[in-house]
Amino acid sequence: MGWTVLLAALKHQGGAADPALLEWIKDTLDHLLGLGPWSVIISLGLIIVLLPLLIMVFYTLQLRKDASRNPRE
Amino acid sequence: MLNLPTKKSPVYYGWYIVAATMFISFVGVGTRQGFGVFVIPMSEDFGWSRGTISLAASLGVLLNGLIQPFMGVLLDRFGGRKLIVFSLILLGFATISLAFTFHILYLIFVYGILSSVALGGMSITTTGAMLSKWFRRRRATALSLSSAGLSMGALILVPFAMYLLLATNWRITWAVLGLLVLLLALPLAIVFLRDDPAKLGLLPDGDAAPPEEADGKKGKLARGPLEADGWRESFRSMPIWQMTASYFVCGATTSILSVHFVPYALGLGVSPGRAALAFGLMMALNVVGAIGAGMLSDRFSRKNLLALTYFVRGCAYILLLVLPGEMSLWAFASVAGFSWIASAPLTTSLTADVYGLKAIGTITGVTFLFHAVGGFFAILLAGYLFDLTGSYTLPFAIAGAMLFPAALSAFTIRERKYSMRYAGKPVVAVGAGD
Repeated sequence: MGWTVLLAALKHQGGAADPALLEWIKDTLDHLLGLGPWSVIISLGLIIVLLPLLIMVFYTLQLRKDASRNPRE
Repeated sequence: MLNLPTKKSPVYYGWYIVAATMFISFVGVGTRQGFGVFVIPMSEDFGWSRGTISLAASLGVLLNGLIQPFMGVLLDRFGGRKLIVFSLILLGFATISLAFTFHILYLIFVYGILSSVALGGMSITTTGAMLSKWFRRRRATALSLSSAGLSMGALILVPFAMYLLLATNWRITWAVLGLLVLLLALPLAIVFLRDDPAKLGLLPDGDAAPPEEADGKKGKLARGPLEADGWRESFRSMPIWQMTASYFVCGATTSILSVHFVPYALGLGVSPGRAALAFGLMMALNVVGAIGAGMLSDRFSRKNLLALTYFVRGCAYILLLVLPGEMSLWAFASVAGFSWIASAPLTTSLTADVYGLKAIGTITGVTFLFHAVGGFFAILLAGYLFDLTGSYTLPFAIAGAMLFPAALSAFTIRERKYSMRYAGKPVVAVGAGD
């Protein structure tokens, strides 16, 4: 057991995922999607980049709306 | 830098902080859980055994738990913004540095120590303490949404790392993960994170006016009877021990499953794929459970929801032990999934409600330490009992049985008496364990 125990002690809050489990997830995704690795990388990469960008864009739009609604005195 | 909003902004600024901390958790958990992707290729390149490479990860996991109280002290002293921004810079550069790994000691130092310290500074304990200052009425909703970033990271960032590694190599993959932290999460933290709504002229929850007291006076937020100026003060009262005891059981009953669920399933004759799928279902349901529990606890009593979380998990353990074969796994995954991370935002929210915000970082850090200790000893005990009896029945039965006293411990917290949510309001019928 040894290090396996230590490794998993805090998995509830984010330990390293099991390599065998990851391998199985990859095989399942390959089977389901039928895409090459680069297609998956680009799709997931776009989601990852878009998340913070969307927050920034939404915030900027709200600020503009706010400024037009409440012009400085 | 962007301008800051006015009091009349249609979207309360605190929700931007929720979005930012959700993305920070998303990126952080990707780096932490993504380590599993690197185990095989790095072991093969350097000729390390799994045990050797696990040393870096295990040290990191242990350090991450032990360091939480110290991170809490830093948060209470310097504020969450500085701590999280510094942690992101450290995590980004440490992750990029992993691309230059040449020796096991280098990996242990960079991943096991530097990255873990950084992850401790931006954990849900830290972001939860920070968010508690921005929300009062919708505190648990905000905290649970932020926690959902953890599950999103596991669902998106880990497969991303896995495919990138497949298409390139492990050095490029580490560098890309580090760049994501520095180029995406860090700017978001710098732009959005703020420690105190009062500094922007805002009130918690975006309220237009301070809450009205029972006597009709408006003004400063009410001080609760147990509001603490330091963490030691809080540990002289009953509610924190009730929450900590429950959280210890929480750590024990979730960590034991992280390690022993798949071996247990294999022992039942279930294929590894189906066992992993059942575990995956449980992880996906935890998003629904955490957000649902958070939203409900902002409407109803938090301690009742917390007690229900432990009670439901206890029932799931009974199903696991009583139902036959594979059916027990699916029943357990479906029921336990809802309670998996729901306890974290509920415990942090209730702690902030009872003890106030002055030492919230340190108090939640100490509480989390008990969670980590519970997990550590439960895994050891389960392994020992399995070796002794040749079955997981006894360790799982003990874990399940511990959850009912934990539920009782949470249920009997005198929330109406001590929580600031009820400060100034008349204490009605002393029902529901209150």
